[in-house]
Amino acid sequence: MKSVAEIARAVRSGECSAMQVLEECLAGIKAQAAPLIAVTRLLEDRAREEAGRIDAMIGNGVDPGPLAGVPYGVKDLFDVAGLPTTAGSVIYAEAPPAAADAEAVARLRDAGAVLVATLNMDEFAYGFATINAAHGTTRNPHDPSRLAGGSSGGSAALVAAGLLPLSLGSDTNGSIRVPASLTGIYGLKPTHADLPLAGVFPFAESFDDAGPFTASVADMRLVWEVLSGRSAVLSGAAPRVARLGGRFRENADPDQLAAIDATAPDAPLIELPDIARARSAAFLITAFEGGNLHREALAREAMAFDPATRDRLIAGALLPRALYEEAQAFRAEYRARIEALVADFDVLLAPATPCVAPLVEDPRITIDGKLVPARADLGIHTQPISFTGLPSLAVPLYRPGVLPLGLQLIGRPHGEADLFRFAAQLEEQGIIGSGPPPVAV
Amino acid sequence: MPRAPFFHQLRLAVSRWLAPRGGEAAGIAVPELAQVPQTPEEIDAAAAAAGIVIPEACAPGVAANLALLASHAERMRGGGA
Repeated sequence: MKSVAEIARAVRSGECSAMQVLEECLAGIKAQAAPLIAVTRLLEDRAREEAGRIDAMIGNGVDPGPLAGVPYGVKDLFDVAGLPTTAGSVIYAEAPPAAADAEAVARLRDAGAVLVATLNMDEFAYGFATINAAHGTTRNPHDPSRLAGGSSGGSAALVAAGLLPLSLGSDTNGSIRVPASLTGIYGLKPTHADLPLAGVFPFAESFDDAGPFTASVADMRLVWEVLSGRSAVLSGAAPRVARLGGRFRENADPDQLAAIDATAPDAPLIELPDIARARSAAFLITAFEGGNLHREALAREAMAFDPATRDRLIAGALLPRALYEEAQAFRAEYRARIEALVADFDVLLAPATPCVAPLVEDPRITIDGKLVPARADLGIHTQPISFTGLPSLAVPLYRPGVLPLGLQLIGRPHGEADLFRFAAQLEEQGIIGSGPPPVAV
Repeated sequence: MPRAPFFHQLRLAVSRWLAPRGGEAAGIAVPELAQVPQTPEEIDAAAAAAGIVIPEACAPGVAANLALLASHAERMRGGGA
């Protein structure tokens, strides 16, 4: 699959039609996607209508936009006009169809992109594994015996497999950055609430964000500009970089630490205070908001929920509001402290996940020397960053032939352009980059 | 109860100072920090208040998750959970 930029250039110039791009994309998905268990709905009719409209615009001399003819998929929680928004749950399989596209989908559509599929996720986005009772467990294109990560696992798997150049996911505590790291692609959690969330099924609104997956920094920047409606203005000054120490270096792969240290050997090592407290507060806020969002449905039909999320959601619904408010008060104070602490830096370097993708048959990882469930703990390094609201770009270490691993490039509020610029430098140096899956899907 | 770090203690002290006066003088105890329901009785009461009947199959999992959340509450308050 060509890049986002290459496809848009070819379609805009008339070198190929949007319909040709689409048919090639559909053929690839039909031939190769089934083992990944990543696609929940293939939207052939809609996609052909959109591709036909793009080609008609080209024929009439109208520029369809910067994403002309680019096929993409969305996590199963974005509203798609005419379809129920399921959020990965059978409870909403027969829900009334969405009246309109989610705002993010509308912005991609208006820029010329072509929606091809909805993609698998943990039910209600509650997990880092994409183990879904209704649709199955999404597999990692680099090794189908391993998880793709979650909760936006379907969105990551199709881009990593080269079957789509772009997809959208959501990230509450790491649900874009974790699967991006495990599948070896780029995934952006924007500055909190900076990219449009209208028409996105919520999970925990204090932390929910929408963001893209791509296979290159250039594509990420292009898609971010479309979604945000802004230009990523790149300043000329060298970025001020710091490495995150403490907890971020305690549960990390040696290759991640070596890459961070090689990337910025002279960068100061700074420690974010109270990381464990912040992560625990994030757990409490997420549990309370998620549980209360689904409280009525839990009261009505608890057994219809995915067994993997049901007990967690019920527990969240039973938390006292006073504890939630205490966690929110801690969050407000913590965010102010962290923003002041990192104000002198443009980029903070940290691991994205503590390890490579775990096995589907044994979905556990080692944290502090103990085996713990991957579903809850793969976000150990992403969850504290969500707590701060800072933007974070997951980038893949370039290591072809080896299971993928990612880093987080964390920025100042609304500092995405600095992240893109620094990531582009690392990509040029060959430190990061997406490689093709070594295992044919 | 673990000792809460400074900022947390300060916030709690301020909120107590701002609360309506007279309670302590009248012999009314200052409210304790909110706790996660953990005993079967506490869980049943919280479920009833939320309007949820916990299915039998879910009871062990809900209790385990509440225990985990209780450890997070302790850690958030500066405890060593």
